[in-house]
Amino acid sequence: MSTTDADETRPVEDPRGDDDAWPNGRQLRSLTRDATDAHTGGSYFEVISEVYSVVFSAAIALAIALGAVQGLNATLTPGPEVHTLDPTWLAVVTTLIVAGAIVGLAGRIGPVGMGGGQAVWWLPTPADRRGLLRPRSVLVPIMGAAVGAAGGLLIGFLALGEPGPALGSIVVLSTLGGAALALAAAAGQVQLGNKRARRVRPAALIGDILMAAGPVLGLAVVFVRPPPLMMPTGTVAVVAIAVLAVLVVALLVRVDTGLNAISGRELRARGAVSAYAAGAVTSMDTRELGRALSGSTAPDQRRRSARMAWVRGPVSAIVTGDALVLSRSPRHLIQIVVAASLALMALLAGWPTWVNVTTLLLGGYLAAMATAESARRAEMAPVLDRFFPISAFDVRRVRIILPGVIMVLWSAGVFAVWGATHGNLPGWIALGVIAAPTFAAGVVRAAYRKPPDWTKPLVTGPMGPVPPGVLLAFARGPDLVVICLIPTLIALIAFGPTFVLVWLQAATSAIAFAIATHVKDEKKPSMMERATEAQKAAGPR
Amino acid sequence: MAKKQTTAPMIRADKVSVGYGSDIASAVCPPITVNMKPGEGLAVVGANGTGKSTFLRAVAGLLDVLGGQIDVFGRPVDERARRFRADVAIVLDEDSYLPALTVREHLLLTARGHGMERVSELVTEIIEEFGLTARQQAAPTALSSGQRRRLLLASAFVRPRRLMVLDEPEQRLDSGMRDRLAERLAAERKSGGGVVMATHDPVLVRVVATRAVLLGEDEVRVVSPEVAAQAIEAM
Repeated sequence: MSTTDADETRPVEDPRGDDDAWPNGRQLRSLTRDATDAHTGGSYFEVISEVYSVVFSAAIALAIALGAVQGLNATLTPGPEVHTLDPTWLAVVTTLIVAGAIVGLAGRIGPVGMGGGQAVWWLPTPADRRGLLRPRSVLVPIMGAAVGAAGGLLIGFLALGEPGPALGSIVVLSTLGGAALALAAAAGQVQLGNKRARRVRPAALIGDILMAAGPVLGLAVVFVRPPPLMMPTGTVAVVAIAVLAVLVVALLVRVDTGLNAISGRELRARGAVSAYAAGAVTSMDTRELGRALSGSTAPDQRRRSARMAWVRGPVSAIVTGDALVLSRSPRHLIQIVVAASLALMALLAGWPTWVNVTTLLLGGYLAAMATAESARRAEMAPVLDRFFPISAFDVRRVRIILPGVIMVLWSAGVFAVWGATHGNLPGWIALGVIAAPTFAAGVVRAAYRKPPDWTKPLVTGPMGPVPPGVLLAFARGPDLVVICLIPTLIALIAFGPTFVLVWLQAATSAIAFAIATHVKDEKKPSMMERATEAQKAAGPR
Repeated sequence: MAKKQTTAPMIRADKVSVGYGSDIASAVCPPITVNMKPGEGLAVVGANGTGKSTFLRAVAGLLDVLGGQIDVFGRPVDERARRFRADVAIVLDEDSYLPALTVREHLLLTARGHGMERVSELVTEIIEEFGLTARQQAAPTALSSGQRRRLLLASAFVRPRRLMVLDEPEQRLDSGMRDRLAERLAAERKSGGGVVMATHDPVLVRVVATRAVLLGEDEVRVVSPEVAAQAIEAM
């Protein structure tokens, strides 16, 4: 018998020794925290200072929002119009949107995950998952409650217009509701556990549906005009609060006892998404945040492949790819419908012209953004634009086709309603159709923008220091829409769709198209390419 | 009348300096001079950080050279041009796909976008060749990293091309797939196509390359495939 064979037959001694000698999850967290503190040298005063800054900024932002909402309540008091939207119903619409945002966000980022170094160093250890994950599971209801409380304040002021006992009930209810929704998403994650994940994460889908239901309900209320809602007070409020409190505690226990069931793969995947999203928030890059949240939510998506027999050449290939990406993304389809509902709701509710114009602009841009997912992905992975025998200039022009077609249909519908309520229906439809490519050009320009530039010196303003490079990055896309829609804005606010304004809009739409399809002569590697290069240079072979 | 065979270089690199800075001082390797004709395979070999991928990026037109000149098919490199994109198939080390499309749809779209005939049969053949048959209805996000690599390589073979630019094509592939890829690339070269690749695989160098550029910190040498393969084995 060879030495090797002898080694193989010898019982392997467990090098770990006694299990009790190993730190549990809580001890491991403590050890890591102590080691980190020893190296970073941060003082408690710095932490207090940062917390103070965040809380103070949030309080000021909330106070400003509350003032605006209170003013909105006074403006929206029902008038003699045929169609109107009572503030109490608008509060319900807002509640659905806030609830959808909480559930959808919680479903996409985890809510319980572990990324970066912690996933690499902690998950392979024998330490119990529950001990490792408990701070994150506690943070989930706290974040949900914080969003719920802020939303409750806004909703309460919107519905009531002034402080009072009913406002207190609404705030407490929405605080508990926010915590319950976030915990419900976490409980769903625990429920999935090690099972093969379904095609779509339920929490993300439910969140999207809730967000879509808000504006659609608002539109329905405008037509039906139901009586104002009674706000919960007295016994009803107390019972509702008690029920929600019990639900929160029950969900908290369910999540806490089920933490060990969440698989390492699931924790890593959710941790990666939250780390990506956190990085995008820190760098104030909304495009990156969208990418982080629109990443695949299912590990094994399968579907029947389309034959694509209609594709002939690069143009139809690119347009077909763009259309498939849009048609297979329920979130983006919902976004288009929600944007139309928003614009129509404001228009039909008899609100002031400036509110209608603002919601039309916002709705149009929101809808157009949903159609440009392929362009945003091509910016991140430029190879997608180089796959086909077509010049870079032409690729950019082709990428506008799908957003352009969708926005022509969207604008025709919304401007038709505008025409029906303001007269001169054909003129408004013509103006809407001609203005539509501007929205498409704006989102394609935004899709191909550079990441925010933080290297430029900060500019001091009344609201504090402002990074100009970041503002310029955010403005790229919306700037084109606002400037090139000036003829339409003048028509909406003052003169209607006159012959001159329609022609002017045609000219500015052409300018928008030309600007959005301009390709600079740049051969610098993308962020992903640079990261890959650095990794390859550093990695061992 | 037989088609006139051209022996003009596919790639002509003349004292090319490459790097990620803005001046010649930031070059990652000494200047590179090499020509590649149709039917040749050129391996770019060297240790980590010697500039293999950087040189390939310059050949692919994704990076401006710091000095010298690169011509591809007799013209200065311009990857934005339709003709360049039609002639050159590029597979670099990056995951590039649309998550909403299946593996088969990616290849169908690529083939049809390049105006290929008998697309369905062609895609089925390529999928089989690259071992993706069982996963052809899956989204790329559901593939392993090796399978995603196969998908990217397959996308280069499902379309017409005169030149292939490949950055470490062997990465994340199992040994069987590496062997099949080497045979495929050798056949590509023998049929008159050009293959330029950065690689750390001595087998790929021996089977595919007809010449190699050996990149070092102090010098760049154009060597035989055998010398390059031995250099890799000694690294």
